[in-house]
Amino acid sequence: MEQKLLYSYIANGVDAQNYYQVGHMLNVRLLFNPIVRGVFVGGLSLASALIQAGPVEQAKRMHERIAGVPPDSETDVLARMQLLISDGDPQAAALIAMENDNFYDVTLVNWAAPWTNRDSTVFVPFNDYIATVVGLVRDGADFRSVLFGDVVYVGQGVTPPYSNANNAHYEAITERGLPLKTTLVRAIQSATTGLPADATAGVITSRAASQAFFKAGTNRAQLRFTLLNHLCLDLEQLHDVTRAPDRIRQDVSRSPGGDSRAFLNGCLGCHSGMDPLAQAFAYYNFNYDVDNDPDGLNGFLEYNGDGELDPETGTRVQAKYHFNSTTFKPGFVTPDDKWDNYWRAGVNANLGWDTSSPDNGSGHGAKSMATELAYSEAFSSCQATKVFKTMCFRDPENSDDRTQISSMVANFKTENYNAKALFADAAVYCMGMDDLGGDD
Amino acid sequence: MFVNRQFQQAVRSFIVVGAVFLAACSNDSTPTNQSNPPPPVVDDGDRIEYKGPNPTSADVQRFLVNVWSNLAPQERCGACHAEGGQAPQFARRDNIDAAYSAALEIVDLQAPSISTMVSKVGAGHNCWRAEASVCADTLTTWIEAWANDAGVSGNVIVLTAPEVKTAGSSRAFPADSSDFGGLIHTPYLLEYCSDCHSPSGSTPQQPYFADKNVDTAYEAAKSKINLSAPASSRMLVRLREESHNCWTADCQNDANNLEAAIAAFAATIEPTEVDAALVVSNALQLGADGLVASAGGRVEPNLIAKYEFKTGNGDFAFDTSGQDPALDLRLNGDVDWLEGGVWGLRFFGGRAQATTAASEKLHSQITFTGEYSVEGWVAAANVTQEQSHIVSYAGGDGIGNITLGQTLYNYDFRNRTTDTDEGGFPGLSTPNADEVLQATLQHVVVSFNILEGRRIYVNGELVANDDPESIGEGSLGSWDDTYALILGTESYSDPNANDPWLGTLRFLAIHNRALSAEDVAVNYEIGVGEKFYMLFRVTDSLQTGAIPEGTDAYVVFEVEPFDSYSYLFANPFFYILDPNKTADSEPPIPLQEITLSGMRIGVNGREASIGQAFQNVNLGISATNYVAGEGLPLSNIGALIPVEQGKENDEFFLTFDVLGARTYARPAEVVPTPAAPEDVIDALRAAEIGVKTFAEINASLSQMTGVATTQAAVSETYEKVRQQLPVGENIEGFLPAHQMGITQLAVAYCSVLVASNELRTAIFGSFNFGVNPVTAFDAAGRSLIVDGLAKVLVVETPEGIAVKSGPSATPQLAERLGGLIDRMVSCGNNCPADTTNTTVTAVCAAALGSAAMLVQ
Repeated sequence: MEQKLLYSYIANGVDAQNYYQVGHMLNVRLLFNPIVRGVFVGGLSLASALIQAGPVEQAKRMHERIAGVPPDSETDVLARMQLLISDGDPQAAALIAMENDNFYDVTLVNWAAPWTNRDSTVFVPFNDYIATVVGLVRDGADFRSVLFGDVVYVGQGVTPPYSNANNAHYEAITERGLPLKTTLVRAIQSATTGLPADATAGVITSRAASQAFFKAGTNRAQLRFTLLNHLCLDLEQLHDVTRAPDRIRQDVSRSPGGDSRAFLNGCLGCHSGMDPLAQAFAYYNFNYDVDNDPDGLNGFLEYNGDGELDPETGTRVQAKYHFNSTTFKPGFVTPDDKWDNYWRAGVNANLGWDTSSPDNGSGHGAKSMATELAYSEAFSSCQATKVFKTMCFRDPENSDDRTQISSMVANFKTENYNAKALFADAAVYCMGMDDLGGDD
Repeated sequence: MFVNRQFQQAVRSFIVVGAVFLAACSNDSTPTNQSNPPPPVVDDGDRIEYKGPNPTSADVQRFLVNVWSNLAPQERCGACHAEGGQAPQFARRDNIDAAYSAALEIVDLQAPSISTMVSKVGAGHNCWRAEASVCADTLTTWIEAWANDAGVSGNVIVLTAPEVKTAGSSRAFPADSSDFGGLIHTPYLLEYCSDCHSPSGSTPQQPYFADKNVDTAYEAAKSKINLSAPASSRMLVRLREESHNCWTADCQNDANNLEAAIAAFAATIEPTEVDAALVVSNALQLGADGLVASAGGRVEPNLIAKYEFKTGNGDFAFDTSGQDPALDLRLNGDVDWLEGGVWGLRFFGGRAQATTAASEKLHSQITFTGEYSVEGWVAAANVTQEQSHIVSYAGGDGIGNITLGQTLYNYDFRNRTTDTDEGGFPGLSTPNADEVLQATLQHVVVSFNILEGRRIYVNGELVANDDPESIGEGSLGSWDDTYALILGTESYSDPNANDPWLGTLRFLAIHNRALSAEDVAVNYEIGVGEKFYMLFRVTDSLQTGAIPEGTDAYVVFEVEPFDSYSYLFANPFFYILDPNKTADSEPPIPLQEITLSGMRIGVNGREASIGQAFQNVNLGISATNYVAGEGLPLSNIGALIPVEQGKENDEFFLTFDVLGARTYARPAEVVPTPAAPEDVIDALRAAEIGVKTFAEINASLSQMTGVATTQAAVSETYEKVRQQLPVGENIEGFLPAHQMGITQLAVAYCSVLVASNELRTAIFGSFNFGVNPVTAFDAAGRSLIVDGLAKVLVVETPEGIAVKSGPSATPQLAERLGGLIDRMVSCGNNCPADTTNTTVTAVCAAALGSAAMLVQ
C-alpha cells in the first residue's frame, strides 16, 4: 500500500531521493491555480525523518505532541528541554512544553471537545465543559473534581459574560483568539449559574453537557456519556444480567417485539446498573423551545430544588422520568434522586470502586454519584489511557504499554490527581528512544 | 377471605375479609319482565323466546338474557337439561326461576371461568362447537356477561391454602470449570465466539463467556446455560433461532453440536437437592397450585366478536363472543400460536381470516348501531414496518371498511364512511412525535361513532381523535357487506403487495358500540391472559410464636405467563391465613416482628440466575404495618423469570436471606479477574509518528509565518477547510483530501505573510518584492527565500544543527524549492506584475504545507 510505504520511509529515515517520493505521494497531483500548482510541483520534498533520537530530538517530539506546534525557534524552549532531558528529568521538560499557549488552546481543547456532545465530534464551539477541563489541567487541580466540583472556568473580562441560556461567552473567547492559559479563571459554578451548590457536579452540570445530555430523552444519556468519556466504558462493556432489575424504570419494554428473552439477556444487563445510577439526575432537565429552538441553543439547565415540585410527578422528579409509564406498569417509579451503584458487585467490581467511601455506593443526587465514578480506579485509568492516546497516537498495545498506564495512574494519584502529570508521563514515554534504550 | 382484585391493582394487594356473596347478586330490584301467562316456548333452532312465568328478580332476568337464552335451545343444553330431563335443569323452559336456581349450583359468578358448568363443557360434555375449549370460553363469556350486569364478577377471589410441597432437586453449576472448559469452552466458545465475547476480541462485547481465562468465561456463561433444559440455554437459542453468528452455513447443525456439548456437560453433574442452607418456602406449580385470578369485569356488553386464542393449536382461531354466527378465523400462511401456555397468535407475514359470509355479521351488527370499537392486545415485532395492517375488515388492497395498521411508531386507523374513499382515507394516526406504538404488548382500541368521530386509545389513554370541530356527517352507509375480517397481513396472495405485519395478537374484541374512555380504561386495567395467585408458604422459617397458633404465613404473588419465554411475578404481599377462620373470628396478625430480606425466586430447585427483582426487599413485618385481613405489600414492582420447562412443569419456590428465625449466609459473589488483553502483533502496531491535526496545523502555520490565527483571511480559510484537515493523528488515515485542505490553508497564511512588509521582512530579510521575478530571484534572492523558510521550518539545536527528527536545510531543500521557482518564473520578462509575490507565496506554501510541518 502506497501510504504504508510512505510512512515506513518516514519512520525509518529517508534519503534525499526518498524525500521527493514522500512529498510526491503526500501531495497528490492536483493542480488548481498558479500558487497551488507551484506548491505541488515543487513542493513537499521535505519530510521528517527519524534517524535516531537524542535528547534534542526527544524534546522536539515531546513539544510537538504536547503543544501541537514545534518549539519556537525564537525562544530557548528547545534548549531548556534538551538540557532537562539530558539531566534525566524529562518530566520537567514536558512541563516546559506545557507552558506553550497551544497546549491549552489546541491540545486540551481538542482533547475535551468530543466529550461534550453526543456525536463525539471535535468540531463543536468552545464551551464551558471544555473550558473547565482546560482550566483544571492548567491549574493542576484534582482532576477528579471535573465530575463533581462546584467549579466552572470562565473568560476573565470577556463579554458577553457567562449565560445560562447561551454559549456566547465562550464563542467570544474563540472569536477573539484569546489564549486560554491566561484568559480562563476559575469560578464557583453555583455562584455563576445559580444552581444550588450541592446540585453542582462539575462538567456534568455544565451548560454544554446539559444541552447535550439532559436535553429531552430520559437523562440516561448523561450517565452513558460520562461513563464513555470518563471511565472509557460504553454500556456494552458494563453489561451484567446478574444484577437486580428492581430499579429499571417503567419505560423499558420487558418484551421487545414480544420476546422477553431480549430483555432478560440484553436490555436488563445495562439497565439494571444504569437506571439506579441515572436516578441521581432525576431533578435535572434541559429546558428549551422544542419548536423554535430544536437544538436548544438558547435553552438552559433547570433543577428542581427543595419544594419545587414537577406538576406531572408531584415530586421533585422531572416528568421525563415517568414517561411511557404504561410500557411496563410493574416497573420502577422514580420517587427521588437516590442512586445506588449495583456495579460495585459482580463483574464490574473490577472497575475499582472506592471501598473506603462512607456512602458505600449509595447516595442522593448528581454530585455524590459523580464522586462515586470519579473515585474509581476506572476513572483514573481512563484519564491515563486518554492522555496516552493523545501523546502516543495509539491505544496501549502491549504489556509494556499497559504497565505504563499503571505507572501513570500511580503517579497521577501521587501527584494528587494533577492531570499534567499524566501528560508529562505519557509524553516522556512516547518521546522516542534515545541511545540508552527506550520506547522508540 | 377474598381478594379484592380491583383494589389490589390499584394499591398492590388487598384482602377483603368478609362476605361478598353470590346472594348479593339477587337482592335488588323487582322483576322487569311483566309478560302475560306463558304460551309454549318458541325454539326455532336459532333462537329461543321464553314465554313462561315472569322472573321474580332482576338477577333472574339477567340470567335469562345472558345465559339461559343461549343454552336453552335444543341443540345446546335444552334437549337434556330442560324440565323433566336430567339434573341440573338450568335449561328448563317452564319456570325461569327454577332454571336460575339450578344454574346457581354450577356457576361461579366471582370467577366464571372456573364454574362447574364451564369445566364440564370444557371437558367435552356435549359441546356444540368444534373444540370443547371454545364451548367453555363461549359459556364463560355468557356467564361473565351475567356477572358483569350484576356487578359481581372480577371483584373478589378467595385465597385458599395450597398443598404443602417441598422444592425438588436440580443440577447446580460445579465450582470447578474444567468440564465446562473441556466440553464447551475450548471446542466452541473459544473457537467461534472469542472475536467478540472476549475482552481481547476485536469488538469486545459482554458477556465474556469466550474469555481465554476459562474461569472468567465460566462465570459469564452460567446465565446462558440451562442445566435443567439444555435446549433452552440462551447461547443455544441465539444460535438456533436467531442465527447469531453461526460458524458454518448450517445454524441448526451448529446448534445441535453445541446442544450436545451442553447436554454432555449437564450429564456430568449429579442432580442435587435444594441447598439445605437456603431459607426456602414451600414449592408451587403455576397450573396445579395457582389460584385463577383472571379476567372478569371486562366491559363488553355489546360484544359481537371475541378472540382469546386459547386453543393454542389447530387451523382456526375461534370467536368466543357467543354472538351467532361465530366468526371463526382460519390461519393462513406464516402465523403461529404462541408457546408456553400464553394465549395469542404470532404473525410472521401470514394472516387469520374469516369467511366473507360469516363476516357479514360485522356489517349487519355495526351498521345497525352506526358505531363500533375494535379492541386488541397487540405487540408489534418492530417499529420499522410501514403501511402494515394488523386488523382489517376489508375487500382487497386499498379497499376496506375498517383498518387498524402500523406505520413505524404509529397506529393507523381507517374507517370507511360516506365522507371517505373506499379505503377509509384520509385515515387517523397517532401523533408522530409521541412514538406511541412501541414494540411491546399494548392495549389498543379504535372506535367510531358519528358524533365523536374516530378515536384511538393506547394503554387506556386517548391518544388520537378527530377534531370535534371538523367531524363530518359521514355515516357507515357506504360499508360493503362482502368484505372479510382479516388479522395480520391483508394480501396473503401477494405478500409484496402490502408490507406484511410482524407481531403478536394476544386478544381481539369487536363491539358494536363505541367504548367510552372509562370502559377502555377498565378493560386496559384488567389486562390480558390468565393470571394466578401463588401462595408460597413460609411458616416453617418463622420464629416460634411469630404468628397465631394454627395459622400459616404466605408470601403471595400475582403470577402470569408474560409471554412465551417468561413469567411475570408481581406485587408480592405477606399474608397470614387461618384455615379455621369463621365469619365471626378476627383475621390473624403477626404476634412478633418478622424480618424478611433478600427474597429470590427459585425455579426447579435453584434460584433463577437472572431477573431477581426482589433481592433487595428488606423489611420488618409486625402488627404495626400489617393490616389484618389485607396483609403487607412487600414490593410494588414485577420480576420476569425465564420459562424453563413450561408452565405445567416449572416448579417455583422462594428463598430468603433472612426470614423470621432463619438466615442464609449468602456466599460472597465471585468476581472473575478478566484476562489481560493480548499484545498487538508487531506487524499491526501503530506507527510511532503521526500527523498534526487540524488545529495543530493552524497553530503551526501561524507560529511559522507570524500571522495571527485571528487574521481575517486565514481565519476565513481555516473555517472553510477545518473539517477537511486531519482529525486524528493516525498517519495511516492521511488522505489526499487532507493535503488539499492543508495546501489551501498554507497558501492563505503565506499570502498574508507576503502581503505584510513587517512579517515578510522578518523572514525573508532584504528580498526585493518590488522588482520583476528575474531580478528578484537571482542567486542572492533565492537564498533569502530558501534560508528564510528553512529558518522557520527547520528546528535547530542550540548549537545550530538541524534536529535529526525534523527536516534539515539540506541542499535538497534549496534544490527543490529552486526548481519550483524556476517553473514559476519561466515566463521571464513577460511575467504578470504580481509574479514575484505569487512565486514567494507558492514557495512558502509548498514548504510550510509539506510533511515537514505536518509530521510529528
